[in-house]
Amino acid sequence: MRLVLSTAAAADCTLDELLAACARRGLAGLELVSGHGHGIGPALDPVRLEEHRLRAEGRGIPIVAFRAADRTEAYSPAAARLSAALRAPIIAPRDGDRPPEEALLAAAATYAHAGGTLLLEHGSDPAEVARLRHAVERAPARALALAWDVDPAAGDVSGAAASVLEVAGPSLRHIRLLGGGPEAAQHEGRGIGALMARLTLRGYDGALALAPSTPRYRIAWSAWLGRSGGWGCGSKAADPSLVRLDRALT
Amino acid sequence: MSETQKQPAELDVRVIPPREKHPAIFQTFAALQPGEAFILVNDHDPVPLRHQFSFEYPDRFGWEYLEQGPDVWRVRISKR
Repeated sequence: MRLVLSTAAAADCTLDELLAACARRGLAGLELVSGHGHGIGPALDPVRLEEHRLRAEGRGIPIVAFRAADRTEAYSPAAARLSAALRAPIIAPRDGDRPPEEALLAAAATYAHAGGTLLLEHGSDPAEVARLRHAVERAPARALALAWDVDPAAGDVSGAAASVLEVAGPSLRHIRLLGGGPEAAQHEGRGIGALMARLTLRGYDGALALAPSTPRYRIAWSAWLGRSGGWGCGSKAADPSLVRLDRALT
Repeated sequence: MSETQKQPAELDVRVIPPREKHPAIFQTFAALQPGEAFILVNDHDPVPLRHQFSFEYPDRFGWEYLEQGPDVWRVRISKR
C-alpha cells in the first residue's frame, strides 16, 4: 500500500510545492484533484503533461490518480488521453445517483482505445460495489477499476471493510480516506486500525490517499504539511483563514 | 509461498488513531503464518512496540529495520 496525498489537502499549491510537502511527510505519491493549483488537467498540452509526470517521478513521488470534477469530465475522451499521458487512472467521483450503464460502457471503450484507466468511485455499500464490479468485468481489460471513498465520519468502517474488500476483489485500485493526516486522532473507534490491518493481510498494494474530511480543517492540514507561515502557496494576507487565526490568537 | 518469495504487505500506521495502532499491529501479526512477515511503516522509531513484542512474543518474532527516518521508519516484522 502506498500512502499518498490528495491535493484536496492543499488546493492552492503548485506541483512543486505538493512534491515538497509529500517529501516532508514521507508520502509516496499524489492524487490530483481537478481544478486545483497544480494546473494539470485534460486541457493541458501533452508536452507539459509529460514534463509534470517526469518531474514527479523524478522526485520519487509519482502521480497515482487524477480525480475528475464530475462524471462528465471523467468520461470524456480528453480525460482518457490524460490518463494515458500521466500513466495514472482517472477517478470518476460519485454523483449521488447510478452512472448510466450505456455511458459507462462508452467511457470504458474510450479509455481502452486511449490506453487509460477509469476508476469508478464507490462508498461502503457492498451492493453498490457489486454493481460497479459487474461493470468493470464487462469492460475491456484494464479500462475500468474501482476506487473506494472511505468516510469514517459516517460510522465505523471496520464492519463494511470485510464485505467491500471481498466484493471489490482485485478490481480495487485506489482508496481515498477522508480525514487522515492531522485528523487521524479524531477517528478513534471508527475502525481505521482494523481497516488498515485487513488491507495489509489481503495484500492490498494500491494507493491510499489522504484527504481532509471538510475544508474546516484547512489550517490543521497546512500545518501538518509544513506550510506554517507559507512556503510558497500564497501568503497570510491572501489566505483569509490564516488571517482569522492570527486575529484569534492576539 | 515462503516469505523469501513474496513481497510482504505494508501496514502504514500513520493514519491510525494512536490508541488503535498497537492493536492493529498485533492483529496483523497474529494472522501471519510462521515464516510470513509484514512491513510496518511509521513516522517515528517504534522502540516501545519492539519492547512490547519482546514481552508478548519472546523469540517468536523478527525485527529488521529497512528505513530509519528522519521522516519515515520501515520495519520488517516476521513471525518465527
